[in-house]
Amino acid sequence: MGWNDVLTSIRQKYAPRVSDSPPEGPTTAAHTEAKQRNEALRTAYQELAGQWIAVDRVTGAVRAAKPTPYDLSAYLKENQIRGVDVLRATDPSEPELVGLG
Amino acid sequence: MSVRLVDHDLSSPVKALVDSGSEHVLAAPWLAADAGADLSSCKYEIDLGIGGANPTVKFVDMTLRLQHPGGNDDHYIEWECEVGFPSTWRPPWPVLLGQHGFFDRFTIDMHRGARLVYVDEWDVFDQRHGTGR
Repeated sequence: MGWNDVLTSIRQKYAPRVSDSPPEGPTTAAHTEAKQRNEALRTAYQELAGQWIAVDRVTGAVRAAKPTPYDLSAYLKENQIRGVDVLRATDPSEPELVGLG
Repeated sequence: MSVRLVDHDLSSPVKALVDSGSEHVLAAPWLAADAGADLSSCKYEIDLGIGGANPTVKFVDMTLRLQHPGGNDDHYIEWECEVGFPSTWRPPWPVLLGQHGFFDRFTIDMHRGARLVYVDEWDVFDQRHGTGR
């Protein structure tokens, strides 16, 4: 099978299904779990836009929020909060960034 | 992905964007202070084009810690890495994992459908695809 045949095969298999939902397969369950985590994050973004938040690494639930990363990191260390990740909750109107680095 | 920076101190864990389009590992300036890194004695500094701006980026050698996604902070791997700290930072993710320092250390699998990133040993790519024989 030549390269063009491979490309044609891929196009036929996936092109009609391009959407937010992936093709059915072994990744579907992981996709659903990830989607639920993303939903939790999206809700947090709306409520805490602009704040720095600490989200649970497994569930995506917000465990702490502060106006600056300095405040949040100090709070996490002082209260020994574990299993979280820090990021900034974006405002929905904020332009999407490209060309990051 | 979840990472921490380690220098004189251990930073808080932060969300990192895996960015194959970035030549470098980059981190928000506040993380330098959080990890106790001294940017006044950086290896070198250059201007980079980031998100339409041209901040000056100071590079230092430090340790990067990749946290296991299971949530236990005691499960991690570490490696030495050059990290750049731009003078200004806009992205919501405090760290970008780019080519030098991340993609040149591991085999990375990404799947949009599963919304997952897998990090494997460097030689896993060879084992799968038979390159470098």
